[in-house]
Amino acid sequence: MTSSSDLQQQDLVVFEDRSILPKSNPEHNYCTLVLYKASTRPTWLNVALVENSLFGTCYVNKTPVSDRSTAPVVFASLSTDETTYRKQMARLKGDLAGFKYVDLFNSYQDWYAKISLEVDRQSKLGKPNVFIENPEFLLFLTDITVDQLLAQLRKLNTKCNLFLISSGDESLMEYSDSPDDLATIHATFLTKLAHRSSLIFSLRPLRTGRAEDVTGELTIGRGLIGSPKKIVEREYLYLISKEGTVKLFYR
Amino acid sequence: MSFRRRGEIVSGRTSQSAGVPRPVIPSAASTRGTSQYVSRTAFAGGTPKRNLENAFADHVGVKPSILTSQPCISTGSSDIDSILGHQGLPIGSSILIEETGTTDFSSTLSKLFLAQGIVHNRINPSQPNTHDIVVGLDQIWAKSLPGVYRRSKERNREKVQQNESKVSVSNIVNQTNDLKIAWRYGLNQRKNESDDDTIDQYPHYNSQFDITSVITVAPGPHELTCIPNDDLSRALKRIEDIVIRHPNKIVRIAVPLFLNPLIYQNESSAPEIMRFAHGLKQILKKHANQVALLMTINLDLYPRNNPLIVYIELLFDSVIELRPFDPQLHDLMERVYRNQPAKIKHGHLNVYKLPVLSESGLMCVQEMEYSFKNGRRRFEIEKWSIPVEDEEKNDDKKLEF
Repeated sequence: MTSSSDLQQQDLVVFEDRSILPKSNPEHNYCTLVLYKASTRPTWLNVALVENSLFGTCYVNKTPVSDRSTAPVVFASLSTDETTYRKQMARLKGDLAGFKYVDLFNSYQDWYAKISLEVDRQSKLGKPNVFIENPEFLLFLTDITVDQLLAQLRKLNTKCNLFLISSGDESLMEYSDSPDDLATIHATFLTKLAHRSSLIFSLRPLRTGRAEDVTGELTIGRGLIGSPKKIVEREYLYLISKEGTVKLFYR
Repeated sequence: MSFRRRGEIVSGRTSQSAGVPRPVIPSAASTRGTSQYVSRTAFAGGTPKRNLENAFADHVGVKPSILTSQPCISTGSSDIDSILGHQGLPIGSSILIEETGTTDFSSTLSKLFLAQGIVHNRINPSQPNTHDIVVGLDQIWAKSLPGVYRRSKERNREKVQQNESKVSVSNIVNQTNDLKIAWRYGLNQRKNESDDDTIDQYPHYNSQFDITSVITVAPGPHELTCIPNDDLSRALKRIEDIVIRHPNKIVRIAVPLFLNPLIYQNESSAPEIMRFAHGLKQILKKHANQVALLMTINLDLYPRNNPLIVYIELLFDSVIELRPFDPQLHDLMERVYRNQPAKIKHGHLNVYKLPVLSESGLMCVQEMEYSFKNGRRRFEIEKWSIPVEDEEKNDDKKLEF
């Protein structure tokens, strides 16, 4: 019987041409959904995607990426402060001038204006990739409704590629009769979002429990909106060490 | 033939005068890899260098994490400190303690967390270094914080010292012949030295508390602030005001029994609760060099699959759950360990998130792997093992009859 550590380490590949992020396409703006469970935070994946966007490389991959197209990054989080992500980004070798952090953690009331302003600034360098972590928090921290939030996100998506990182915990995906129930609101938001996304990453722990040699499962799947480039739908097992190295294996 | 001076101590160790380097004996923690963050070089005067990039590097209650070298404070329980992986709670981090059932072990942990802050604050009365904040409970509750545990020998020694300090004829006579022979053979000094060796680099980092006692001088408003919970947004403002008012102190915030209707009588809506939890995290990260948070919550009213709890867990850096054993298991343990009562535990301790590690993507969930026991002197955590009933013995007895 072989354990996952015996298997060969694989590269993170999302598209058929072995690229991770889509090349800048003036006709199509991607909306990507990153879903995670509380025990498998996607910080490592966010860093890998940011790195790929900024430098065209990926610290997870062993083989160098052939197509090194780059794009500026605008990153906003409602659950994590800037220091935490700056520490994570410190592992990237290169100039982080193209990485802009929008502080929604401390002030989220005018979130759309802040991100939009930064997107407009970065657009001069190319079509930016915008990451928003836990946008669903806005539904409870502000008075915005699900449809209003989705409308604003769609408006933002017309100017950039959007990566929305959100919790996909089972407890948050249960509909109830009450429309004001937190889970109902969350499930409605995510379901509608899934219908507007072209790419979905999903991170979850092993269904069989904890293992020393596997941290969790990463699934790459198509969203309900078609993608001009063919997406390689695949399941990986991943292992993160305490030192921060990440290894991927085919499921 | 060499002669020894009369005044010199026979077979005594070399004296450790100032400026003479002495070997530093690594503590137990060093075996787990502490050498990567703490310089183990011996220094003049024996004071180890603290490799902390923090304003509180000289704080007696701050120690670098064995994993990330971030400055950490003790939760008041050394076993909880170990479970967190850093040998403490990193400053700027939060811990959520969940508890199921009708027991209230989590309140003990809240009290230990606050009592540890009070102990640190009183080490040097001229330089107070820690401030405690309690949300939702009052000074009367704060008076029940546990006192530091003293061994019976220490208590007896204190009594003797108190008696000796009194002016009496026997005391004056005793002062003149003060164990001269023991001194000449270096016995007194040898004892002191052995004490010094065992002292960790951070001797005041965590204390051992006796939960059956109370702290001798009840904490006053200058070292512990109680904040009412009638309005959560106002409570947030008051917490931040207090943190700003104590810029040179470590601030420990405790929110015991969160959402317990006994304490939180004003009904708060889910968004209000979310804003409070998010606001607490904002304060933590804004003052990441001086604040740490401990919150306890009972899962009977808000189970773990409640969306509100899922959201609150998302906002916390570390989450642990205390799940007392069901009566059948407790009975079994009492039966199996009737001759070894020390082995009887109170429940399972589940780990769901750990500071820094979970944030960076590591899967830290450990369910049914640890058990806990709330002892008088220690909140004990051990690896869980299923008690096995010795059936053979019972069979033998039956045969005898």
